Order: sequence, then C-alpha cells, then structure tokens
Amino acid sequence: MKSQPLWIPVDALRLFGVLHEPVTRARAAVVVCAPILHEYARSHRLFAVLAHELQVRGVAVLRFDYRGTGDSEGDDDAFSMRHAVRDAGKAIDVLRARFRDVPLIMLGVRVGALIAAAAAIEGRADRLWLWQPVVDGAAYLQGLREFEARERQSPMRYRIAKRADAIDDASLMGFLCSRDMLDELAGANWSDAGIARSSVTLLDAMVDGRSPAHARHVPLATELSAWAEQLDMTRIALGPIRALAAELADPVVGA
Amino acid sequence: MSIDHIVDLGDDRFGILSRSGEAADSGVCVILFNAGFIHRSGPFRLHARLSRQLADAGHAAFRFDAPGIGDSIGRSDQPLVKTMRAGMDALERQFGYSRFVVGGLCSAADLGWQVAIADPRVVGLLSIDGLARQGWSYRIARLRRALRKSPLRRLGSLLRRARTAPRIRVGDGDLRDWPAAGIERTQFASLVERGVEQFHLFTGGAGYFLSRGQFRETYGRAVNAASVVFHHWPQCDHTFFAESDRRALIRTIGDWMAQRFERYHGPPNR
Repeated sequence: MKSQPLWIPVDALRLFGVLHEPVTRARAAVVVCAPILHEYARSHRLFAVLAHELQVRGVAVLRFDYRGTGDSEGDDDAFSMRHAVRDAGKAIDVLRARFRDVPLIMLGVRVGALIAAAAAIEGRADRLWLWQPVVDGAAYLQGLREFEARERQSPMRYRIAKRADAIDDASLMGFLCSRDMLDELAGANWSDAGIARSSVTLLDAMVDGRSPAHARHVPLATELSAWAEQLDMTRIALGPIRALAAELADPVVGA
Repeated sequence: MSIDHIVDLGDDRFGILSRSGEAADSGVCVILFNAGFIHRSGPFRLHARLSRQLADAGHAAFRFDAPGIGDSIGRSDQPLVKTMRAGMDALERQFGYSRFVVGGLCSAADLGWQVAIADPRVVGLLSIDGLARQGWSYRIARLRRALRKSPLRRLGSLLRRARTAPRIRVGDGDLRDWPAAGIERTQFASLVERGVEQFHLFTGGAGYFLSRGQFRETYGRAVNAASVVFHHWPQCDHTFFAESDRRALIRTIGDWMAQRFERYHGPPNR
C-alpha cells in the first residue's frame, strides 16, 4: 500500500499533494479540502491516517495543500478562499483523470467544507462529506481573533518577556494572511442552495439548527472532534479512525 | 529562485528537497527534523519557508517526516538516528550531498545533536531550544525574576506552586532525549574538535533556560570556540508564533549559513 507525493500545477505555481491509491481498482475517489491555519497543522496526521484507512478499503484519496500553505508553493499570504476553490478544482482534475468512472467525493473539513461545497455547486462532485463545517465565517474569524489575542498575552507562550509589539492585523493564529482572505472569511457563510441534500453526509459530534442540510449524519467520537480546539498530537486515535473509515467507505464501495 | 523536489526515501516515505535553481550550490545540505509532532512543513510553515530561502542563497535544504509523524504512516522499530542517517544516505546517493547541517527546534535539536555525534558527514548543527542544564546561573536568574515580582504576586505564585506541585518533580531532561548529565560537555568538545559549526539559539519559551550563563555552565569552556554561535531571544516564544520572530529567525540562520559555509560551484548531481 503506497502513497504517492505529487505536484499539481495551478496558475504559475505547484500545489503539493499526496495520492493514496488502492492496490485494487478504486471504487470511489475523495478529494480532501483541508482546514486552514492552526487547524491544518493540528489535523494533518489525523487526515493522513484516515486517507490511508480509506485507501485500504478501496477508496482513492487525494490530499493537497492550498497555495501558500504547507508544502505548496506561494507565500503565506497567497492563500485566499477564492484561490482555494480554484486549487480544489485542479485537485479534482487530477483525480478525475485517474479515476474516471467512480463517484467523486469532496471531503471538506471545517473551513474546507465551504471550499468543497463550491465544487459541489459547480457540479464537479457527486457527494459531499462535511466534517465539522464552519457555517458562519464572521463568527469563526472573531473566535480566532480572540484566541490569538489570548495567545499573545499568554504567560505560557511568552514566559520571560511580554510581547511589546501589537498584534499584526494581517496575522491570524500566528499565520500571515492577506486582507482579501480575511475579508472573504468574514463574509463566508454556509448555504444549502445548489446542493442536493441527498448527496451530503455530515460528520459532526452533534447536529443543530445551523447544520447544513444532510441525508446522513455520522456522529464523531470525541477523539475525532476535539482537535479543532486542542488535539493531542502525540496520540492519534487509530481505533476510531478505522471505524470511521469503514463507516464512510462501506456504502460507497458496496461492502 | 529555488525549486522543490520530491525525494523517495523508500518504505513509503518521502521528503522535499529545496535546491537553488542556479548552478551555484554550496554543496551543503541542511536537514530539518520534525519539531515535535508537527509535520515537515514546520510550525507556522517555518521549515518550508526557511528551506526555500536557504536554497535561494545556494544551500540545499531537506525536510521530511520521521516514521509515525505526518505523512510517514508506518512506525518503525529502528532507532531514529539510524533512520535519519539513512535519509542522508539517500541524499548522497541521489544528489551527491556528503556534507550536512542537521537539527531544528526542540526535539529536532536533540535528534540533530545525536546525529551530529554519530555521523562524520555532519559539518553543522542547528539547535533551537536544545539541551541546557539548570545549574547556578538558572537558579540565580530565577531568583532575580521572583524578586522582581510584587510581594503579593510572589505569595500568589508560592501558593499556586504549593497547591499544584507534583510529588515527583519532572525535569526537562526527563521529557527530552538528552544524554546523562555531564556527557554533553565531552560531546560538545568533540564536535568542536571535529570542526562542526554550531548554531545555538534559546527562546523565552524554553522555560528551562533563563540566563546566557547557562550555556557556558552546560557545555564548558568549549563554547568560546570560533565555530560556536549563541543567541538568546527571551522575547520570543518556543514555536515562533509571531511573524516578526519567524522572519528574524530565517534571516539569522541565513546569515550564519552564509558566513560559515561559503558557496562554491557545486558538487552534487544536478
């Protein structure tokens, strides 16, 4: 079972990706739209392992870094929601070229759910798996601003000397962001318009009135849902990841 | 302008090598190990940015995940130092590099230290929040800090400590992969003897390092060697949360590399 690192050309840049291709014929193909900022780093291992477990069950998975993130090319402030949608489109092209006749699924994680949904609206994905989707961009942004302010003042982070410099407006959770990106995030809201409810699987600890319309709800165990706040990176919960991979893969591979 | 290359390390593992797009190459490859459990692009993407800037300046830089971290799905029973040296073998075989600068932040500094001791191909050590012992310099610095607090805050601190103090004290050396106390002096001197260039930086996030004097106290007189560079950045946190700190770090390491490893028209296979 092998994963294949690759470059995905987009505009004048290259995106870094990892393709998890099953040994036997793939029965479905998944593009992972990762979360952003600190959530990207915290969840990287979780989704690498989940991709591997889906691969074992006959599902091809492509994980990639948006431009300006991870190992992709571009400065940090090259990331924007608009560009991320374009990047996801290129990832779809790569997967479609290799796996023509299988259902294509977009797995959108947190803010990545908004990016994955854009592809679904364009009719380029057959199904949507939404993992703890961010539905209110302004509230999410506000929460991160408060989080960052606490971090800047934290005696656990700055043990000896307090930071004399003020918070940089262009910084979010320690990452350099463009003004465009911050504006886009503030204006991003979930909408069910244009998305077939029957195509949506919601992965979340619980469902409430603001959750996207969905046909199926897969409850997430605490080990898989607490990472957006705090993930213990030293211990990845392999058991729950395997169980979840089976729950997601079985219906699409016809097990 | 640098360009990144994917390097196959075998056993379903890979890494990313940043190299200068021009012919000039110092012939030295910087290897950045994982900072704790953060995957190869580094905290706040520090490794990706540092690698590319070093490559722009003519020094190749390689980042990859140790078994069980990031994209290296499988774990390994093999000692980590052996795995890292196998990575160096791959770079030598595929690209012709035979001189390496190794290390990184926190656990990467610890691992870099061990690899530097074990492998004669290592010509430089990059140690950020690496090993330091808590001797008299530390105690005096701590006392000074306590005395700067108001009596009320001091009392509050004492009460908090009394309430939360564990029965068994766990020191930084227990949580880190450090050699037995005292051995580091001999090892440090042997690196100096070998001519290994050393870059040591301690941030304010390393709670076990409060005073410049600790560096000399830990490693002895060999810290005065011309091959040793030391920085203490008390205003900076352990993971370089602030963009200004990341920029300063990248610039400082870049300057050190430029001073210590002259460019020459390169070796390696292109």
